[in-house]
Amino acid sequence: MSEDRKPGCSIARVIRYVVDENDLDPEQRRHLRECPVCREELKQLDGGLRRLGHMAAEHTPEPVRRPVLPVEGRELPHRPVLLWRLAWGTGLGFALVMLIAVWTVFQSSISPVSYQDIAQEMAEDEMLLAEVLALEENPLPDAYREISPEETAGIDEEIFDFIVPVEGWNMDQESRTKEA
Amino acid sequence: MRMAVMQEGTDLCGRVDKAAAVRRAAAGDREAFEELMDAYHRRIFAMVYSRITSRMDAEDITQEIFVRAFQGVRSLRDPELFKPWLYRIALNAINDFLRKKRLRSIFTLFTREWDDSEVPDPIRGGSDYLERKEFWTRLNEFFSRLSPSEREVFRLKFLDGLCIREIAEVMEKNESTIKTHLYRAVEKFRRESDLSGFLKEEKA
Repeated sequence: MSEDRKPGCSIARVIRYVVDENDLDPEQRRHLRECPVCREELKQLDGGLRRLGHMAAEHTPEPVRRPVLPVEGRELPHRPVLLWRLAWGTGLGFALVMLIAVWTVFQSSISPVSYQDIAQEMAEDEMLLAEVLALEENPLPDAYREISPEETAGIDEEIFDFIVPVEGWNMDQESRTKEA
Repeated sequence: MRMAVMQEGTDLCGRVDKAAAVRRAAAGDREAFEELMDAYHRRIFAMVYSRITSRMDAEDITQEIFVRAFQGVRSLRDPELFKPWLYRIALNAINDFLRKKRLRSIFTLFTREWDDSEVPDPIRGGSDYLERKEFWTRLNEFFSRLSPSEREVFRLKFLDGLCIREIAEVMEKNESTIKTHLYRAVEKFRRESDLSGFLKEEKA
């Protein structure tokens, strides 16, 4: 748009003319006709709007179906497909809301008990695991612990042989005696 | 808001109209109404399509508009008011559809601005479909920057070709209010360099 305006020029007047040319008095209309700046402004704006209208018409497809009028005395169902879709959508939405509500109530009612149970179960598991680890270290009952190798580490093997003689050792001695 | 006495057989803007057919239709003549339907079918379809950009929905809504008009034409007293009366029915039907669409969109993850189900024209090819999509997307971007009243008045004037008096009747507002909305909308259109550039490109 031109910025080189004459004193009598006004873009507001151009817009008013585009909106309704009868709004301008004859003197203002004469100015729009004769002033080259205003005439150019008007040409641009009016041309743009007309072009828009033509393009809108060009970019609109042709209707395929001719409307069908209802038979006298019989009411035509109003867009049953749309209504069915709406009914399904509403029903589905309602079911979803109910599901969420029920799930929330159920969750809130079982939550405290459930968390306690889980905590207790975890504590029991830990105790059991500790017991298993202790048995892995030494599976003997307490009464035998004192004579187990771990407990008696450092004691000479001969003392054990003396306390509990090995049968194989005696047989070996006897066979050597016979050979001799 | 009632207009001055109109010349016989002309509409609110002084254009030749189908006043005789309207009178006969109002008296219960089905054929006269079908004559009116043939005269306005394409215009009403174009009006609906420009607002919802979905051919299938536009066909359904156009059907509904003419059924509503047929059922109510007997109550029409002034034949000159037929056109704005029909456009008001159309506007109400479009608003009803958009309300229902908004309601439906609550139950869907997202809504489409453009109807992808529309089949490209096999004769003019896919480029026609893409051009159309581009045009309406750009125009709707511009419309999103207008207030609802400015948008509606602008569409009725420059897309649907109604005069100020007809728009005033359709929107049930006085003419000076319509002109104020229109003035603001045109001023915004003038400042929209994007849209003006796009229109020039299309022209070239």
